[in-house]
Amino acid sequence: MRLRKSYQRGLNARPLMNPRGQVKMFETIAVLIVFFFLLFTGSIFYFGAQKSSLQKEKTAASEKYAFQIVQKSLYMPELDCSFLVTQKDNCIDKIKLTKLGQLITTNEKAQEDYYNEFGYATITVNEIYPGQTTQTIYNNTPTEYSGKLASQNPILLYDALQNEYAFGTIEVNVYV
Amino acid sequence: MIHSGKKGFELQFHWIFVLIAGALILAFFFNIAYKQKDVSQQKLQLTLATDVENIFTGAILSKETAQTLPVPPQGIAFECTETCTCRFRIDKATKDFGDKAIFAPILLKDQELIVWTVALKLPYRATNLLYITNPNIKYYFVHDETKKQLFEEITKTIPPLIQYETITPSQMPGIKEQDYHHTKFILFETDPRTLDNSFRKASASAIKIDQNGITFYEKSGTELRTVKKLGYAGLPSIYAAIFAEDATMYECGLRTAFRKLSYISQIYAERAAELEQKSTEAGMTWCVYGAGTTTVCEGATSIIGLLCEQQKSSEELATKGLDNSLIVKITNLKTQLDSMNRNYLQQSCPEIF
Repeated sequence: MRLRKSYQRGLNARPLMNPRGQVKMFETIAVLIVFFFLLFTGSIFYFGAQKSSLQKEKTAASEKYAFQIVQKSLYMPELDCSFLVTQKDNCIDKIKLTKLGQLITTNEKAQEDYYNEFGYATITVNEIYPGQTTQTIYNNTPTEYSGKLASQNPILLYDALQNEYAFGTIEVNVYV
Repeated sequence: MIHSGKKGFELQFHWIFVLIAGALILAFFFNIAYKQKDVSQQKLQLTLATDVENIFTGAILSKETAQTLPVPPQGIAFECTETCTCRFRIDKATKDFGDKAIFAPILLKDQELIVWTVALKLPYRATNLLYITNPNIKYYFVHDETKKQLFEEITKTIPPLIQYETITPSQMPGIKEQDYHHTKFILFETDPRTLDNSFRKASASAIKIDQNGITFYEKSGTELRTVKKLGYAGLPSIYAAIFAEDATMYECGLRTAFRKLSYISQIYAERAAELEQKSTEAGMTWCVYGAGTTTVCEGATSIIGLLCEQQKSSEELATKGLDNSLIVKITNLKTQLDSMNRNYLQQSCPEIF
């Protein structure tokens, strides 16, 4: 009898939380899930846009850096044509060109110093007229790179012994 | 009773849940806003630093020019450590000087920068030195009326954009501090005097230039105390001492320049050797440049000998620091090289530089 009564009490017992409360709680959780889903999707778009703007800035910075290298290579005192200590603009001495190339390839300390100056780049001088020669002054090409910024500038090439000029270009490739 | 107690518990739990969720959402947004601010600030500073570096590169390549440049609102700081790690800084964004020989005060802000480039020729161009200042730095040139030569030689080429005031040594103690960011006294062959009491808390320093070198002084109270004495190689290096923050920046900048000079001297020596060989082949046997027998520099004489000496001395100066005897040697070599080079022109031989 007593057992039966207690079984009946058990069947009639109220649950710990009422069903309306449970529904409300699920509602709130569902709202939160939707909210965080929207927030997450929004963030993906936002950070995507951020990344692309950062990429653009990175490209702009690389272009500026490349321009710096071009400028530096055009005004190197190691290469300039000087006549009684007076420089000639946009002119490269042919012998100095060869000697600088040799210095950079043979002298480790110089290699390190010029690497700090030009980074990952190649600097090539092409004689176009009357001769057609190509000479690389500096070459530091990375094994992997995402882009290459190339620039060509017209220059005069001076032959000190013949006292003659040739037309040429200085080509600077900067790897980014 | 039991029923209402359970409802109260449900309600309380609901509010706690709302509070936690709200706090989490708020924290999330605050975190994003904070990080975003930090990132955009860093990005801006880095862009500024890159732009400023580009401007400096452009300025250093322009020949013997003085120009004004805008300064970012944060200002630009210039610093060199004892190990010669030199960099400029805009807030937290830093950039190394690299191969640039820059001489500037520690902080330049509020007013436009004045940038001046001078080529260091020993006797051929080694590099361009870049001097940076602004009107917030006050320069007093202190010189005795009886010793005018050095003063006139130095002030002759200073561009009008750079302002300075000339005073006599006896006027120095009476000069009052005038709210400049920094005051620098440039003493020409005269010792520093005690400064006015108004300088006690102000930023000030001095250098003394004479035939023996440049003495750097720092302020201690109202007295100027000797820090270091270093040599100089021509007018461009004197200007470097005037515009540099301290002896360290002066030494580091000149070491960068001497490193360049050593490479250029080597290139000139090798060029001269090739010119000699080609001149002989062309029948111009009188064009002797003095190349060595085994290598260009071993047993070299004439101009190649001097160029090799120049290369060796400048390399030592770049690696070991500014030794006065080596600086004197380089200055003497400059005169000899210049005169020899002119001789080649007179003999119808290709000149070296």
